[in-house]
Amino acid sequence: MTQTLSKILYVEDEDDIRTIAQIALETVGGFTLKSCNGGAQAVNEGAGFAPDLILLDVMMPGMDGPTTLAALREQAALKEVPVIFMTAKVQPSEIAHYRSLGALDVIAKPFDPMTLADQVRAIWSRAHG
Amino acid sequence: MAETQDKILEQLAALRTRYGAELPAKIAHIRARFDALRSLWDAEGLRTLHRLTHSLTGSGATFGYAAVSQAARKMEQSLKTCIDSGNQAAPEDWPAWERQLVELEGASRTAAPASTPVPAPMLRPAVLTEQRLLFVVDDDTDLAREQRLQYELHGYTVREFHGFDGLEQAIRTQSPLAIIMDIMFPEGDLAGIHHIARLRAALGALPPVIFASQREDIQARLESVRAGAAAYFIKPLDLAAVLETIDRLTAPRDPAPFRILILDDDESLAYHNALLLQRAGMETRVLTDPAGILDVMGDFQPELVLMDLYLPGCTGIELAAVIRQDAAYVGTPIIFLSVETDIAKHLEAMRAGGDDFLLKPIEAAHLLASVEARVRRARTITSVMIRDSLTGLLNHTAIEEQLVRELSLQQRHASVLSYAMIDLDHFKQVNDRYGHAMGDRVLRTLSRLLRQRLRQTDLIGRYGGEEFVVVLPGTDAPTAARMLNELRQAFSAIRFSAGGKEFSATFSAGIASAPPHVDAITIQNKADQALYRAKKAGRNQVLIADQE
Repeated sequence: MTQTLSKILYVEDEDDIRTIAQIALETVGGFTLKSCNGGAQAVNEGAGFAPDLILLDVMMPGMDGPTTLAALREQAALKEVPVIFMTAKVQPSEIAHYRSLGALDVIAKPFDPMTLADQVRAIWSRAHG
Repeated sequence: MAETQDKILEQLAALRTRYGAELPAKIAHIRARFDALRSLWDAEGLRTLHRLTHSLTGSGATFGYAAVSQAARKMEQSLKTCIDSGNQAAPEDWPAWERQLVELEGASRTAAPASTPVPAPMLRPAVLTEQRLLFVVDDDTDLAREQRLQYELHGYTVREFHGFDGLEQAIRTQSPLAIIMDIMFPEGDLAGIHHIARLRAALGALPPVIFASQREDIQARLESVRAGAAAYFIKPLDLAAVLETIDRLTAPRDPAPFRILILDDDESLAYHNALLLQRAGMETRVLTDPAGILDVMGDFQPELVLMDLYLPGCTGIELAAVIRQDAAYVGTPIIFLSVETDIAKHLEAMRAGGDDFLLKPIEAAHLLASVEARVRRARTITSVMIRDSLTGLLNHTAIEEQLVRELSLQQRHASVLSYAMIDLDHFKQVNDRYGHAMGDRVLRTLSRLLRQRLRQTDLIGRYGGEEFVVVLPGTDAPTAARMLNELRQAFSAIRFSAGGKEFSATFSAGIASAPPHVDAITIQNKADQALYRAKKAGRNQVLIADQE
């Protein structure tokens, strides 16, 4: 597939996780990242960024991951953009549930900052290979 | 490169140090929340406590505190169990939580961050890449394999089952696009059908089921229908035919996605429902403030409205009545969602024009089924409606049926008939320059002119867009051309005014007649070709087929 992954829209409410993921994805992974501190910011600013992929934390106060996803999906520019959820709870039933909401895959938290980018890339190439 | 690597490690180390410095305060916060909850129970407090432990679970190991993640996970899970039960903490919960919290406190004190990243103990999620999955269930292993190979050649991923074992669990884990099911098993001559019925009862819904069997008798077929069969094939299987059916069943059923408007002042619930519907391939729009309803109706043109009965500033019943005031939305299904169990309220909602009433909390499958059935029906009704909603003329399907009927009359009576296709010239410019409302007015004006000037026996239809057709019984081509030219001149003389500016519009037409032509398709094609020539020749003119 010709589609390459370069721009990632990342939504996470916790500052410290967001910071370390930024290093993991930008510095280590070489991606261009747009970080949002919650669903509202993603809804307002996500489409303008035109991401190749959306990385969404599941449990966030206010708009949680699935709610954010639904709101993002209402925007034409983000309707088809693949999504990966990140969550600390990775029971098989939950994975199936997130998948039923349209996610490519689920990444377990806590993640290893040195391998997060590889994990994202592996999921991406499975979906586009 | 090495420098970058060093820099990364340095940055990570700095983050770890900061996380470590903040950790005691985070743990103290959890302790304070925990003690507060123990002295005064409150469900919100429990949720907060859960969120705090959940957050530590998800972050600890990332920053090198794997033991914190592990201890936090234990506590998080038992708090979650309590939340899900909806009950207050049981007496035995408290000592367990206390133990878990003490362990967490210990972990945060003793765990020194590793100098190199410690991969967290992770549960590797299954590969969830979208696949076109099929299940083949057949106790004849050769036939199952043969099917699998064929379907795989066509891009499907296939799982074989040689009996019913594990089938239900497999569907629960990942529902396939379709199930191809044998009927005769060692369990009985109809065991396949009966098992599908049991699965449907247990799971609520199933993907399309295709039965494949040697049995050709009506009993097996009837039973298969009762079990909700999507198709039935006789063995030996014509695999090409089965594949065609699978493609059809698994392809998106309707080219245009259903458009659903969700009106609920509870934003998260609204988006939850939106997501469910989106997953079923529907397009959604969420509205939390009823004041915007008319704009959204015009803008989004929903095919169904899902609304809460109680809204800020008005009731759903009032709002339904407002929607129904516009003739364009008389046919749009409205479904109410509410916790209201008062039957009188339900009836009132129905009287206001509601189509259905669903009680909250509603199960996903129930919501989907209700919405899908209503939109599908509404689409069918629209397609069989005889009148075009904008102009009141016959619609595409109706005028075609009329043409066929008139042609058979014409042939029986050996008379003549003409058929004209009319297309507005440069209509897109009208829309672009003066707006769609003006465009609609031009369309309605032409339809009114056609109705006024043509005879009672003539049939007038709108083909869609800016295209109209007329069927003129007992009229030969030259007469039809004369009539249409009169209409053309009358129409071009009409002045429209928009925003202080005046403009006029013209149309082109192509005519074909019987005889010489016999069947509806030829007549339509010939008229279309003549229309095309009229457009090419400079528009604003009427041409007869096969005449230069």
